[in-house]
Amino acid sequence: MTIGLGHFLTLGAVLFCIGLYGVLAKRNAIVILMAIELMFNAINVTMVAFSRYITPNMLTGQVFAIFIITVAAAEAAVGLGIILCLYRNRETVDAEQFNLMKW
Amino acid sequence: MNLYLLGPELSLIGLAFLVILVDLATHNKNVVAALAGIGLVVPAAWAVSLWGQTASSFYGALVVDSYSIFFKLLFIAAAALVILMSVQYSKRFAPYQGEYYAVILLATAGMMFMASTQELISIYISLELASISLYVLASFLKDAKSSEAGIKYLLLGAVSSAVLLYGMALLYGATGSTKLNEIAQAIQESMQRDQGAVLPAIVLGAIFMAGGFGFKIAAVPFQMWAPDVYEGAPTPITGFLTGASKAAGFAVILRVFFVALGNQAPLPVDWPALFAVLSALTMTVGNLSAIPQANIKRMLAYSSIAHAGFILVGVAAFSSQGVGGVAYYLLGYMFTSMGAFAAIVAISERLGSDQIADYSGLARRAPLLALILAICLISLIGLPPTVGFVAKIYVFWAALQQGLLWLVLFGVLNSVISAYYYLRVVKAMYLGAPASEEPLPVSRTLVVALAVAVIAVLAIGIFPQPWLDFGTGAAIVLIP
Amino acid sequence: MPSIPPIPIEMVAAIFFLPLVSLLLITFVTRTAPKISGYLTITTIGLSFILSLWTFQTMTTMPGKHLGGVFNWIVIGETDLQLGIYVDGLTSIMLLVVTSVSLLVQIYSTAYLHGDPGYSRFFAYMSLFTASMLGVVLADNLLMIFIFWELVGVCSYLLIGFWFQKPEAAAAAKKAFVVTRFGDLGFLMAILLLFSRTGTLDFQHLFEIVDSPEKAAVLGGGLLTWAAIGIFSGAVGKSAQFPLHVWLPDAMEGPTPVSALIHAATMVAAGVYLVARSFPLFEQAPQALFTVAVIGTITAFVGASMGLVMHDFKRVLAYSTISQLGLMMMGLGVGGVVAGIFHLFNHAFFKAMMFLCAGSAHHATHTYDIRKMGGLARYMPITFSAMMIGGLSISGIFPFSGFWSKDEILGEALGNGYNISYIFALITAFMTAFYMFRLTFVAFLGEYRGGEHAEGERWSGSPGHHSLHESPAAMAIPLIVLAIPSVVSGFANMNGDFARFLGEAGVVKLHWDVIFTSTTVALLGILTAYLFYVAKVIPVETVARTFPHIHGFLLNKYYMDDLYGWIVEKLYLGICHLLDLFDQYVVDGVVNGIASLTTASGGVIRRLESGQVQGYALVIFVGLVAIVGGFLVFGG
Repeated sequence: MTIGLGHFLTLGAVLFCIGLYGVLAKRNAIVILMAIELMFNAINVTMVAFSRYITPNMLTGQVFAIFIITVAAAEAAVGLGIILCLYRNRETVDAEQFNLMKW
Repeated sequence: MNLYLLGPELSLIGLAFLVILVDLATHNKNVVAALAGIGLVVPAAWAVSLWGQTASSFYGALVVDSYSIFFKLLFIAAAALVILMSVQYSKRFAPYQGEYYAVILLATAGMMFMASTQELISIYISLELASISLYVLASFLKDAKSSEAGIKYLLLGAVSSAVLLYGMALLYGATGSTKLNEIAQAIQESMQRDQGAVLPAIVLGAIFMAGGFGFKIAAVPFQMWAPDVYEGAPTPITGFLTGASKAAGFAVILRVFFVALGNQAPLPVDWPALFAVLSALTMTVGNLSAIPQANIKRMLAYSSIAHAGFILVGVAAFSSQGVGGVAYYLLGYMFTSMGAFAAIVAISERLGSDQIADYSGLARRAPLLALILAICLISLIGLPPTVGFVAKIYVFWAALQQGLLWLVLFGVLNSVISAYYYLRVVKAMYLGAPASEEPLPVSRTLVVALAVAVIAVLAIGIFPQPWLDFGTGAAIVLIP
Repeated sequence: MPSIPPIPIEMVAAIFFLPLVSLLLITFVTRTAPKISGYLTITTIGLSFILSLWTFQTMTTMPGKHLGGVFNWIVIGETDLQLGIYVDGLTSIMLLVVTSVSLLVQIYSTAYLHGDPGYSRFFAYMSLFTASMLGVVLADNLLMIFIFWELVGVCSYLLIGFWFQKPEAAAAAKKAFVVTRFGDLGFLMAILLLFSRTGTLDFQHLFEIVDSPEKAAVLGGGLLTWAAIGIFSGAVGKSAQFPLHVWLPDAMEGPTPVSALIHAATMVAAGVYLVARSFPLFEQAPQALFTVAVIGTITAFVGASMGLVMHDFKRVLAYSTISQLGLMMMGLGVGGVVAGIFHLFNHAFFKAMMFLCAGSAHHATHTYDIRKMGGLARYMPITFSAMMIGGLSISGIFPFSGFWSKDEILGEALGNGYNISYIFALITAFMTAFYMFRLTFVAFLGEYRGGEHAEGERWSGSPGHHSLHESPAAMAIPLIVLAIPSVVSGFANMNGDFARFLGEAGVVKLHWDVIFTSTTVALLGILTAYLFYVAKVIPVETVARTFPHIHGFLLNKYYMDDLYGWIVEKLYLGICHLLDLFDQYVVDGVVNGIASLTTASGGVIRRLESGQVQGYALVIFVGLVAIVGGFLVFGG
């Protein structure tokens, strides 16, 4: 059996779903951030796979992946900053406790 | 590579860094605000000087045309209003005012990029530049509510970015390009080759991208974040989110869907129908949820969701009138919404409350302020002689031309419903008994913001033609 | 007579802009100087009145023709929306009515509201109202009419709620606004329908289209009828026609000059004007015209019957206004445009006058309850005379103005075969004469029954003691001036001049049979009122007790308020409740439900709640899945 585009795409999709599960099910805000990173990485896998198989002469997908990694890092930094700030206010990072505003 | 075309954005980013530098050097924060505000003249003038050109640069990733310049000027105007609204307000986070203004300018730069990119990678990066800046701004008060708004915005924003990226990946995989016009061509060719069949990846990609952008404009079912974030964020930023960030989302949606997925003879994906359904859902959910609100910021948040629905009517019309209507609507809505939030800033500064009940008798204590807020609310209802009226008529008319009668009926009914909760505020202000007779003074910078907004709301509403031409001129780029 | 040059169109536009100038000046300059605000308003509206006279003079030299001027407002594709002025006979008559009544009411208000803290605000609103009303009259297309129509509604809202400290006033303001908007919904639909089918809202173009058989095809298949009924539904709301009449009596909570100007002479007549203005549309839609006739007849009858039993001076007048507006609508509906507009013209003057009489009586007695008045005739001869003139005029007694126009409406109804309308109109005429003279007799004859101490109301200009007195000159003079047209304006159509001026064939038939019947009926009504309330041959209480159900039915306004109240309450509370449920169960429920579903199936996702960021994320994904599902089901 040869490993082809389909396998990479499936891997990407599964990773994406695992990340999604983490976003929906984990209570700790930091873990949720990590799960989001997982979703981004799933997309990176997909991007690179497409790049390799669809446009082998161009690096578009790889470049896209690098940008995604960079942006995700920035996002995580800001996210952790806000979580720190929340922790100072509420002394918790439990996402379920963030419900001052609702309805 | 023509850096001159990038001038407005580059000068704006330069201004942001200059603001931080000056902030280090001086203790007088008003100087910083003045610099940020007045400095906007440079990118604005630059953008105006590019008017009429159609040119692209960075290997086709960046394009300067009347469409992008229309939105650039809109964002700069919004940024100017936010800065005016913030001069007094930003005393609340005294040591970080320089950063606050700098981040506003960066967010604006991100939105301006959003309006003028036509390539998926740069669309994503500019969207994130705007979004991450806005996450920071939303949590800038650093109290429990503001931080909560920030984290909710960030987490959901990141999740929807992931959805967006997945859509982009699928579209890229199906067409082999990230440039919108090349994507359009590839789809066209593959459809001709396969007798009109469309790859499922394209349909799925389009839906995911609609979801990701739908988050930016707060369309149902991607709107859940909006009320919480709008309520918790600093009020000027809430205005910025409703006025500018939403417009940026629409700018991208129009560009992506019209250029990449709208140029084929039978549409590969029936996205106008998708947006029509989302539009009906969005306005209905937004309006119905706004009715029981007691907090005016939260009420306006739901109202802003409803307005996204009204604007989507123009997108669903899928015609040059529709796009012109969307552009005009966004311009009008920006001024209306910013005006309303400026009034709220002024009022809550003195009352210390955002509860509608506390607005009782405001007309006696601050007659001009109450009048301005009332005019903005009337514009939100869509009554003459304000810009909201012309905007609604125009998008509804565009939709009627495309035979979307059911959607227009939905819209008209929703407008009628919406009058109820807006007028509740007007009624409280004009017919309620004031808690005290003490007049409410308004700071000078806020007066300027209020005056600009309300004059725009009336002037664009009473003399709509040049502005409609402006908007339709922008639309021609997308639909020749 | 030296020839006066025809009025340039810019001067006609100035009629509209002058009150706006006064509004701006009051808002930004003279808000703290109430006296000046008042005089400013009177001056600008006075100038508008003079220009209206000039317009009228110009129009008399060119009967059947019109003046106009346009500029483009919005251009959408090939179609454009124009802002324009259209002046013909109908317009110039309406201009005269609006500016003259407005002018007199402003003069009256300077005395009536003397010392009120909201004095400047009142005149600012009044200026805005006058400008908007003139806008409705001058507009040459439906869109502009709609814009000013809504503005007039807003002014009415602000002025009814002028004394917003009174909870009844605030509630009445809201009621008026909400109820009329029901009608406006239909109006807006009609505008959208007409525009989408014909691409124009300009009256002349619309008339050209409906008048030519080929072009009218775009509005075939009953669309024209629906459009006309939509327009009429707007008129039903504004002109307080059955079943949307319920707001007008409550609107009497506003200051009396407001009632006189807005809720008797001008705004409520705007509906009649609208139907008359778009009459060519109605002519091509017989079913719509029939609807107008039926609704008008019902309104005339229902309004008059409710007026029989009210004890509040202004409410009797309000029901009378409803009834008379119904009569005008009936006149239009049976095909008599001239008769309907003629009645509008006459009614504006005598009804405004009677409202000002109510204010004058209130000025002396501090009450509107006629049971607490009595014997005022001795102390207030001017007010009493004005009331008598108004009463005789509205009852249709020769030679007062109401006689002429009522006779024309009745004649048209009979002549065009609307026999049932005719009979109902006769019954209405009887009731009108009865309640109007009941009002006059009870309030002005007999012994004074004490009035009420000055309190509650916000105006402080009147003396607190109980010496009854005629009102000051600023209030009395408008009464006298308004009495003049109430006596003589009926002769305007004696030779068919009025009809010719409106561009209709000026043939006037005197319907002798109608005159005989209606005069007899009116005299009978007056006689009955006399027997009941002056001679007291028939004890009122006995009659009320003999027919308790009818009396209660009328006193409770056919229970319509209760019915609407019930519906609104149920509906409103129901919707609120639903929204509450929606909030609690649907928004959360979707989140919770899906969550518990997932929890049950896999025990994966914990329970989510609204306000929960993860719940929101779940909604996003469920939404996405639903969209994908939608595409799978309905196809790409």
